[in-house]
Amino acid sequence: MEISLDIEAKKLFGKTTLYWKNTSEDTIKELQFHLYYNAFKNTKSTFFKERGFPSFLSNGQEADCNWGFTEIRSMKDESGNDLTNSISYIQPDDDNEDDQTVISVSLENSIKPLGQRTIEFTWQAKIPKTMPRTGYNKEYYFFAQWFPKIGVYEAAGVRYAEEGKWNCHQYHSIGEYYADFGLYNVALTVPDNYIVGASGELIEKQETDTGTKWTFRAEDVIDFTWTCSPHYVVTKDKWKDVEISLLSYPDHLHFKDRYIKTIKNAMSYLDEHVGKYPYTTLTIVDPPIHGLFTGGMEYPTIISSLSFNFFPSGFKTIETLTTHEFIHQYFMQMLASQEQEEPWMDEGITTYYEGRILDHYEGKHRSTIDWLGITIGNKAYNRAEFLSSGNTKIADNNYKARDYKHGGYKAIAYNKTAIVLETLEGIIGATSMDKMMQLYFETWKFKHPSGQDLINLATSYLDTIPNKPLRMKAADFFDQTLFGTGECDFILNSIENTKAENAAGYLNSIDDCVPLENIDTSSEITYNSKIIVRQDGQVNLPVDIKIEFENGEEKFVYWDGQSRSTEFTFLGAHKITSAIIDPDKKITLDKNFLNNSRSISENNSARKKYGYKIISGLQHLIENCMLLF
Amino acid sequence: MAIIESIISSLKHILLNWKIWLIYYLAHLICMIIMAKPFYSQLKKNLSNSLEGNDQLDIFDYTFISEMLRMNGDLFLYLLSSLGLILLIYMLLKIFLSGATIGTFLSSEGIYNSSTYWTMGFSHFWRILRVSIYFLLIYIIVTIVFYKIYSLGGLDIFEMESDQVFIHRFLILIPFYAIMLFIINVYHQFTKVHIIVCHKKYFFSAFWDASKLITKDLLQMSGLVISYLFIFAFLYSLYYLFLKIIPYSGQGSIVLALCLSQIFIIARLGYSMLIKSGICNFYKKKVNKV
Repeated sequence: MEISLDIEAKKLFGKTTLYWKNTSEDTIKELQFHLYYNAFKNTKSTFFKERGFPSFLSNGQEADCNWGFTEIRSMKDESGNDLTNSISYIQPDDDNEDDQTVISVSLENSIKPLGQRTIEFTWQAKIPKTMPRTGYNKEYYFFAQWFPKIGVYEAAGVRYAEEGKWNCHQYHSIGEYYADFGLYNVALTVPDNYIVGASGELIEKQETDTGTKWTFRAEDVIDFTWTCSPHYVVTKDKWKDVEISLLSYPDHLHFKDRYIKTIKNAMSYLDEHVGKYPYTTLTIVDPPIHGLFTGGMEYPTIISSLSFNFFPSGFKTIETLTTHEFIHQYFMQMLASQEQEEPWMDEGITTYYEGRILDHYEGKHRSTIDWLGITIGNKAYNRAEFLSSGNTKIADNNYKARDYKHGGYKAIAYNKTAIVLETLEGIIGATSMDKMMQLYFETWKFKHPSGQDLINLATSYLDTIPNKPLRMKAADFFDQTLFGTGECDFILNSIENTKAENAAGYLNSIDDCVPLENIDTSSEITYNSKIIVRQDGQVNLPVDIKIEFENGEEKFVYWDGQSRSTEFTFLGAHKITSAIIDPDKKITLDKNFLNNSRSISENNSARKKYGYKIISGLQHLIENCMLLF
Repeated sequence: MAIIESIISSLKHILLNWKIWLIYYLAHLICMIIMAKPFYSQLKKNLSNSLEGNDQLDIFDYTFISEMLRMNGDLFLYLLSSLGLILLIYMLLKIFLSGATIGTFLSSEGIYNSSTYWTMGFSHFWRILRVSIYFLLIYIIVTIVFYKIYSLGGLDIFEMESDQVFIHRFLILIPFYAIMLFIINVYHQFTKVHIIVCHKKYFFSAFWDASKLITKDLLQMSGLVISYLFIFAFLYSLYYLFLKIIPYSGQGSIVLALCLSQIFIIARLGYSMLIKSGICNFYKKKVNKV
């Protein structure tokens, strides 16, 4: 692509040469392209019809017409056939004829199975102002989903395709993207004083009459994204053979150490636990405050984070976003799932690894917030976010992103998936989980896995684990947890300790009544102790139970969780003093940990601690309120 | 030196008036128990004999807290909203005690007398209440004015060059805001005293007189209030230091924390008496109106 940026007109002028290979056995008669910028063309687009018109976008829109669009000016194939008039807007997802985010190009000559075609087209794009994830504000530019991008032709057998078809969705208000792997050579001409960051490697930087031309090359990536501003300060570092670049504004430069440390941690962790990061570059963009609309997004070898000068350093926004967006290099970039159709595959798995990485490096109880004695861990935060989301049953992970019309997208696709995977890890163990995900990575990298592909892989892998700790097929586990709306709630119902007694009554003959008395007639009493556990949810999961006896002895029992309730009995010289279901909190899907344990005595220090905190807090509250009187 | 002498003399004064101190603490304790009881009962009911949270006593246990809030969210919200009523009652009680205490301190003996103390509470109640309401309005107005100044130039992040703007504006304004609040507080504290002394005059005329008197001796009065603020800061620092040192490792340390908290609250109530005594003494000496 040859691109030039006109900062006066807020336009991009592009010339694209597309070499497209038909990897299927089908004959292709049309090509489909995304024109994502047309989502911002007017209020009639599907994007805005679904989203409504955010009030912050109304500032200045009418006066300056800061909308955006993409227009294909000419298109021809390698034989010189003009395809410009063969372009038509299509709406594969809805009946909104005003939506212009997908085009179909009818080919003069079909593309034969395994054949290829070269298409050349010129285009222009009006850059929108402060639209979600892309656009400009002041002298800050961020170009995501900015060029006419070919859709994915899914041959029969790819993901859920029973026969070859284009997978090229319109731009919806919820959900992200899906694209094929490709090799991008992109020359970007920008004003001389602008600094550019982009996907891939910088091959050449050359001064021209119209500005400075930055040429990038990105291999085996599903997209190409770039940013530029005259105010960027570039910080360079290295992790193994990967060149890390951080693009910050001067007022955020002091965050550079946090960014570099975080990204190195994330790279090391995924390298060890998932697979190798194969690219030679990684660019982190820290947008200025007026570029907030582009923060917290992931693109091939370039990610955007967010930082705020007014946040205390104990708010781990930088660590969380940088880690999260980097994990997407694996889950959706290299393992290129369909983000719109199966958002849990990228966002959910990424959130799961976000918790693992941050809790590992920043501390289990302080990886999200560590400020003025308030400490919150990432996994705990994600779990609470899901369980406190209001309606945890509003949707399941069968939903496409755009189907979350009534809420639940973040809670279900991100948080719930992460909790399900944490629970799976808790049951099968971290080592097995790592091996399974490594197998997933090695099997599906640089391909388009579906959710079913991952579940099939998990099923066959879990069958190989000795003792089969999951006690069910992986598909059943995922059906209950990921794709179901059932809840999980283990409850320690009761503890009973009764003196064990001999059998009594007419045992041998009607003439001989045996009296009721203790089994052991010596000084020691024998107890018949019992715990009753139950589960009130709809999800049946195996779980460990720890039982403590009055002599300090601990016993662990295992419940397969397949019945509504069960009991465990013990005969011995010591009473049960307490019992706890899932003592290590492995089943994070359990919606209430408060009812998982029970003691025979009222020995709850936590209650006293929080009771004191409430009393003390209220005392200070009322006295602070009374300062004026 | 005069200020230190004044503080020591006030300290002796409030020790002599330990009964007033006790009344303050009992009033506080009763209101606090009424407020805390439903929360604690709910905690007890929910946890029953659960062991949850016992192994995380030394940290802010987010899982435990979020679980509690999720299980009792609506109830806690209801209890919090009902706190408003008890706060209002406590506020009226404090205003009543404030009038009675200042009246006692201004009297010639300056010592608690059960027969006059409660009478003075009733006779000064309305005036102190009005002063409190007027100053509350002044505090609110000043805060609004400063917020308006803070937001001059806009708070729209998309129009800002840098988020440093938030901090710069804050850092510039906060000293002025603090000084302004402090000066108003000096007026507030001394007006309460003056308004009781001039109880025979019309309220607004007394209010106006107080302003003139305070303005005349503002510097000295400010010095006195600043010295009390240092005592307040010292008390708080000491308390938080103790809180940091205490490990929440078991029931013993929790009881210790509760005892320390009570001592601090008693000290804090003593502080409010100290400032009243100091101001009354200062007022007697400087203004010589009593």
